[in-house]
Amino acid sequence: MLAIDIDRLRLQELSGARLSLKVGAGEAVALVDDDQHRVTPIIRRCGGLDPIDEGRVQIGTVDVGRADRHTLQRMRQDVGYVSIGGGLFANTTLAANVALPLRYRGMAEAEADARARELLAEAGLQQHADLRAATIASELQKLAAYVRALALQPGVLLVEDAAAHLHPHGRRVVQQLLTTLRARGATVLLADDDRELARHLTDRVVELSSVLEAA
Amino acid sequence: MLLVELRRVVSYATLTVMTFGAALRRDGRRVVRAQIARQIVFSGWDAVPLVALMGALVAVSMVVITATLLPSGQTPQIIEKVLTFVLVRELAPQVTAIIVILRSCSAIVVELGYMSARDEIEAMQTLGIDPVRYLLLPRFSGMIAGQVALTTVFVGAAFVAGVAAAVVLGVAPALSLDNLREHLGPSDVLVAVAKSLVAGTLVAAVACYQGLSVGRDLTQIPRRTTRALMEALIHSTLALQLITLATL
Repeated sequence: MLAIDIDRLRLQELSGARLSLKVGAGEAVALVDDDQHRVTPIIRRCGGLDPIDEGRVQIGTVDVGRADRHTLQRMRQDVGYVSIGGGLFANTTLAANVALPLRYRGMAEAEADARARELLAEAGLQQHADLRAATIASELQKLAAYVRALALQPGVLLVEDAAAHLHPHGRRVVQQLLTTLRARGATVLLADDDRELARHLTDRVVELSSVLEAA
Repeated sequence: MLLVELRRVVSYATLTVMTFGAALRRDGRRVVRAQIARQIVFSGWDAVPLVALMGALVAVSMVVITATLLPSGQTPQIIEKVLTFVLVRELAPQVTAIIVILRSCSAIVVELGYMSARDEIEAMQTLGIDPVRYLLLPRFSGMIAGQVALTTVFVGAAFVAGVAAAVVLGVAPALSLDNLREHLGPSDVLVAVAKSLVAGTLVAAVACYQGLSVGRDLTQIPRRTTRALMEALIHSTLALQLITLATL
């Protein structure tokens, strides 16, 4: 089980304010603010997608800001990530999208395909498995992105904007997926401007303003 | 201006070193191998008819021009020399490089550009998939293998068409593929292979770099594609000429 420790992370997007937040192993925390653009950069830095100039973000034993490319790649084998738009490979079917990380880890093609379809079915996407990602609605793309991020059964899940592109049905599916993930003891950190959904998905809702230290 | 050019060349070299370095790792072996095969089919196999046609046409032109310009007594010997020396060492790698640039370079820039603009490359990173190994290594491998194989196809088609043209037109009735093989030295083959390797690597580096430079701005795709085509053409031609000068 992995914990997330954000220590005095300096954010240029927030006028140089610093943020400190601890997410215990197996805990689910939502970082919320009225403006989604203020919280998304924090998740991106936790995922190692944007550089960390000052402060520290640690996931498990990995110092994300100081880790090299290969350390980050190894860390990501245990850290799922869902971006705002989902980031599916547009020209590829949903099944192939979900199967790719499994195949990259060495699973045989047929086995990975079967597993991907099984996971898509759990999210109610079985009838869309053979459609190219670019041809389906953004809500379904976002759900498939959750399925893909969870395919490797990560110990940590980072979500840029949990509510983006999701209607009530999609939100229920995400809630169900996260419940299954958390039953395995995974740690979750998500950012959102929708406090109601954040409360449903996590144990603790943290207002951004409460963990910021002015520059 | 010169500094900008120099920086770009350094970037191409860095990308190439990173990609060759990624070839030494083993993660995602099966899926990367499948990608490499796919790229070789696209960059190499699919271009065989076009390259063979170009090789044949160029050889026929060379035979006709040589026969027209030279006194008839010297024609067969000169045709043999022209076909082996000029064609194998110079024209085959150069014309093949131009075809590879036109077909594959633009395709790679557009594909990587769209992936970059749609955050697909970033998504790949979040899945623990190394984009250098999964995206760039197959493109480099495909372009290099394709360039070498297509140069061979070009030479083969040119030899057959050149001999056929010489015999049919009556300019060198005794010319045969065996004559050409005798004239073809190991150094000619080595130079052609070296040029193909260099051209394939350069074109791949330019295409991948420009494709990845699109960032999130879709309007950069046509600009980067044009720039990649021009730069790949200029850099590969310059490199091939340098090899020519160094091996004369």
